[in-house]
Amino acid sequence: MNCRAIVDENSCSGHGDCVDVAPGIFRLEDDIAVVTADGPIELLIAAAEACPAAAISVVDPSSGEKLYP
Amino acid sequence: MTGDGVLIVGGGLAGLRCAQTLRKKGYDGSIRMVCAEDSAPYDRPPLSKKYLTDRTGDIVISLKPDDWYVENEVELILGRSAVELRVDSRRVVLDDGSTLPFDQLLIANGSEARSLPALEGYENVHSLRNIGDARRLGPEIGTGGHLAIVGSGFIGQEVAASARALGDQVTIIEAMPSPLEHILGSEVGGHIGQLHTERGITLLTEAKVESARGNGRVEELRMEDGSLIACDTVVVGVGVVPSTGWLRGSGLELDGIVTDASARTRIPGIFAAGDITRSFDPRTGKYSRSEHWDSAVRQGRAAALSMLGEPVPRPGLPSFWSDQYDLRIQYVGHAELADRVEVEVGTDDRELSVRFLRDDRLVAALAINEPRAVAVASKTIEQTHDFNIKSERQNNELQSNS
Repeated sequence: MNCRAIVDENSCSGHGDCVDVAPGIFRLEDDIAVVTADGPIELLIAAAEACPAAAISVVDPSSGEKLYP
Repeated sequence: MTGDGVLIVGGGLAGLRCAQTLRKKGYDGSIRMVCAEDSAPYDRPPLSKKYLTDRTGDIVISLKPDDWYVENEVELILGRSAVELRVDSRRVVLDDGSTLPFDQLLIANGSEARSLPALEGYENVHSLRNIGDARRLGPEIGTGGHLAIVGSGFIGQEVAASARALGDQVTIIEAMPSPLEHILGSEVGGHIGQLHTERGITLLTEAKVESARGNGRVEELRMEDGSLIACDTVVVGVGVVPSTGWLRGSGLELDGIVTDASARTRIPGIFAAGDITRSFDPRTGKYSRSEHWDSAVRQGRAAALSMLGEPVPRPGLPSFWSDQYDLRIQYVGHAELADRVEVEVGTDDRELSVRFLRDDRLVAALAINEPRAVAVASKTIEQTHDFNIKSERQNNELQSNS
């Protein structure tokens, strides 16, 4: 199942740790992380857990169910 | 507008985020940044970690590659410091005597390490604020010697962890009964202290350095209780003071420039961001200093939006993190408001989750290796728009009215 990451723009400080963990999913657009693709849940949660600002949530795009945090 | 554009004093994260946001929002006037060091803006957290212990010289900590500044027409004035702000003529004087005019000014030149008079003038006494400090201290770390660290704040703890990982003998000297006690309270401070002692660090609490002995280099610290600590290197991490010396006579506050939540100072067209500020937090109704990465980012962005006359989003919660050993400590919220603390130790002793409550409502959280706990807490606290201090404020107002 592919899941979707959501970055809270107001919390994201542009550390870029999510990009290090999941380069195919996140990209830094200037100073904010943007989500470029859906991906496997383990990878998205690993990226969310790596975020020092706790700015990333993960949802199931079909049901809208919140998977992280 | 006179075409003098935006001047940013300070070459750190807050200034860079301001410049980035201005360009992103389409600002096409000039942007100049005065950087006291010879480097373009760089990331400070690695200075106490991988940059400090690097022996390869390959670690890049620049926040942006050099060509970013060319492409975005952000002019860096390197190796220069501001020495005077002339508010009436809207100019900043630099240490080479030149003056720079501005339409709008961002003051973001940060803070400097507080020093200990008893330890001044010795060549093996270090503070750690910038690349130069890290380059001087780096070679003394990992030599198998004895490192004495005065102060158990995050800088002290991170240097301790880096040095310990390389096999140094480390003693942390803390004046309070436990690390970070003034922010997190004694119970959490005790847990944090334990993280270090379990990893072989000697932690001396309620301990103060009285004097130093040695010829040019400190060889021994004499403590107030008369005990002696032999050491090869000393790191002082006892807090920072805002670098406001150059603003004397400007009318701005020298103990931290007072700003509103949109980074505006009391002087129109002059903004401040990062370590140098004392900024308003609408959630607590208070002005406070916050010397953390996330505040620098938010305030730098807010300054840019204010300069452009755009609305500034409500500031996020104060937060910080610290990486030490195999631990990540994360914090969010306002622990200073708490009237009760709940500590949960994980199944693994490397895990800790702390909830700070006020009137049974979550106001802050700290977690070690429990990122989800912090993320959940952050979402909960975010929803609190005003920390119930309103009632206190109203009470005070009522009292003062009566």
